[in-house]
Amino acid sequence: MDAKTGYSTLVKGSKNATATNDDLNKKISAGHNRKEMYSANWTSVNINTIVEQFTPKATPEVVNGKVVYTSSDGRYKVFADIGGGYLRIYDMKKRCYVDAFGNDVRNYTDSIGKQHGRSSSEQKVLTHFRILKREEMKK
Amino acid sequence: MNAFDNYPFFFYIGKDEQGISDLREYGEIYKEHLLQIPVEYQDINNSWDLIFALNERLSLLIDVCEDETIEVDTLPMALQIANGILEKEENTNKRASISKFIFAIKTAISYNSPLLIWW
Repeated sequence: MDAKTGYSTLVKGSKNATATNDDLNKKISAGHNRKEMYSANWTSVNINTIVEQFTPKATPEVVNGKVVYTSSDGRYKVFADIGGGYLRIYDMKKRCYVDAFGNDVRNYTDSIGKQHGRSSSEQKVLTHFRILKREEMKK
Repeated sequence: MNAFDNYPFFFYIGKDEQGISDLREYGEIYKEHLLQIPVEYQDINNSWDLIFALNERLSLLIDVCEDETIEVDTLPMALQIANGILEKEENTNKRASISKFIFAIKTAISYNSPLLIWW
């Protein structure tokens, strides 16, 4: 089973559970609202590629409205939001969310070699990724 | 082993004008002017009633793996909501966890700073 299938199965199960779990329902709704408000500038990723790159062979856990994948050495965590259909990648060594290539995006170096901090909103755009739907993955 | 073991959870408060500016613009990356208050995962799990109440009544999106800011002018209402939740809570552990939130809110008010919830 690929990561996408596992994720989709866990999302379906969690959404079914919201009928009897109001707290889970609120957590899932919050993820959905976040996507509605902020996802316009997020790039899309194939969850299979991200899990394979950062947390290969990880067994997903459902915790607090997220599907969580942890790398075998504990360095990376992929948090896939159930309600929002997006994911983030956390580097425990760098202590920050990273982009799809594992880069720390908090600072950048300009054309003359001077380092600058990225704004919080810029960082968020670079570290939130919409999860491609199965049909989109085939394109 | 929990999925959130060793994952950092913090509140941030601007200690001065520069800190408030850094907090608004850059989040936690420039820490020199920020007051950092760590919070345990268990405290978050004990405080979902409060988190949901803050989200619903103040139109916030507080969540794990995300950051959210409670603005200065909203902090008194957040404190009022938190005190209301605390009054109703009978579980000792949950009361202790909610009290940590209240401490963070009160500290932000004392610095006249927004409260950055960096989870």
